[in-house]
Amino acid sequence: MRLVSTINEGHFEYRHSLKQDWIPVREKQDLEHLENLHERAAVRMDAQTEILLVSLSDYARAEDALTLDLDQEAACALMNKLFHQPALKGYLVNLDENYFKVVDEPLKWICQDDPIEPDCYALQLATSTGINVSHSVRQLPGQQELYQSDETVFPGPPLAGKHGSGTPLLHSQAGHRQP
Amino acid sequence: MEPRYSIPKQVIDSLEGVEFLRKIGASLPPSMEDRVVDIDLRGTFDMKIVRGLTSAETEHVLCEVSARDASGYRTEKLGKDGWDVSHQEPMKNKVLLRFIREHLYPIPGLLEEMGFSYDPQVGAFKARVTRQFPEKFAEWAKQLPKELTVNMDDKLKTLLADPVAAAVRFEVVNQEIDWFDLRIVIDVEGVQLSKEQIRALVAARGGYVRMDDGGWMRLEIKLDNDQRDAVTRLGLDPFDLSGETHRMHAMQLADPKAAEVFDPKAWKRIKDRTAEIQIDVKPDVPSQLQATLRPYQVEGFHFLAYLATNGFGGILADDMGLGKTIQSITYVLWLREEFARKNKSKKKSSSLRFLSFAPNPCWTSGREKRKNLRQACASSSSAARTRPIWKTSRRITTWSWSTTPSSASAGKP
Repeated sequence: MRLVSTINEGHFEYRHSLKQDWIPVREKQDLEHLENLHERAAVRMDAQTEILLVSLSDYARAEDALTLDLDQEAACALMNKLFHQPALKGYLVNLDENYFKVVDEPLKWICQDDPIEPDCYALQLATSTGINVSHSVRQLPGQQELYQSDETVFPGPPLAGKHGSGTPLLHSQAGHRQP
Repeated sequence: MEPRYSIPKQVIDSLEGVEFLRKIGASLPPSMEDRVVDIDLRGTFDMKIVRGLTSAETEHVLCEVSARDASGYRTEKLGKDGWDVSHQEPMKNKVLLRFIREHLYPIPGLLEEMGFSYDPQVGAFKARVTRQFPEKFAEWAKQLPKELTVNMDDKLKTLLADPVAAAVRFEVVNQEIDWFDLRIVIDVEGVQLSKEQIRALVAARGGYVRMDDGGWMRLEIKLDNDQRDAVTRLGLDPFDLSGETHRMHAMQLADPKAAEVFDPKAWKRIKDRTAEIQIDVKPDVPSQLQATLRPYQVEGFHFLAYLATNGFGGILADDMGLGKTIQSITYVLWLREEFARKNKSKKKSSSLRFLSFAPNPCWTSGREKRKNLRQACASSSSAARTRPIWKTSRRITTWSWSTTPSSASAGKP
């Protein structure tokens, strides 16, 4: 089994042997067939495939969907969970069937004067080496935020307001107040 | 998510805007860098022990909780309803302050963990000093985050001090053949303590003891794992300062790992005596015995011979009718043979005393099997018990049980 993903959508595929073509899991009966085989111990699969199958089963049960619509937070959270497992390297591929590269260097935001709009500041996403990111990325929520591009997955800056302390406090010289 | 967003300057150029940038880890626009001051607030606990807060005898720990930045721009104090600003340096030129409060968030939880509650009358958090307080406080204080500054008075500081080290040794105060009377001696290192204080510290078994100056102290007995195991195997308690002696046999003490807890001289005596002891004493059943012993009776005979060979005292005990008498007779025969072998020129000793307050057929049958031993029976009447009815005397006596007194020894029947 494998997961094929763009930054907008992901779906699972399976095949019965290395020589056969990949079959997308699009219909409910496809998943039920696989689950049935697995339940009866009628299929041999590696551990990574089992993780993918169990993940898909859980997701389908919870979201009533077989494809991962990455506009949905649950789908993005599942992607984050899968990308965090090093063992799944090689099982998560893009449309070109290349493995996603998960890097350690995080993306960061840079706020700078906007040369195009003088009344604005530009909030620019950049790599750790300072190179501006030029393409859209998909934010994948989790304990550690991940940012998925077409080929690479980056750890990234935290979500605004996410600091694990309940209601954020904003401060002035006079003290603090609720936002 | 797009890689670039344009945000109106008035949105960013505000308290909320700069705080937002900090939260997402974004750098400041170069044009704003001079106007934004980051104030990294760190917590401080100032703790002391006070007496008489609620009643004359009770003690409490008072903890004043404050937060300040390294530059001293701002000081806040934690109260019942949260943080209140107690000092703020005036800022000029539209300076925007960003307060980094991440290190303060755990503080209420830490106070709750130790049972502190806010007392508005004293303006501080307080926790009562109970019997369990020392251990709980010490454990709590050691786990406080390093970003927190913790100030304590001298009494509280003693709870975080290392325990006083003490060496334990077992002093041999008396020796009888193979038996050593041991007494536990504690040597405290580096601190002058009275006997009463040492006794209290030892009795606390490593726990905290309140000292006269109001501080706490605890004692750590220095025994490595091997020594501790050896002492445990001996059944000795290094914390026993009752002054009572513990009688131990040389064979029990001959544990090489226990060597360091004994005086060198005492250890040599133990080792020397141990080396003399013969373990494998299994003589043949004397040929004069007109009976065949059962296997367990042979074992019993060997046991008695082992005791006699090494000069030990011991008791042969078993259920009624299983042959203690025949084993004893066998043993006595063996003693006679040993005596004869070692004293060839001397006559055989014939002194033997058998006594039975409850004669039974088995006993009678047993004694009849030894033709050369004189025997006697007595009734269980008190009159019989008080009269010296025996024609001869010997150091082996059998009643319904048999004993070999500790003074008995091989070759001296």
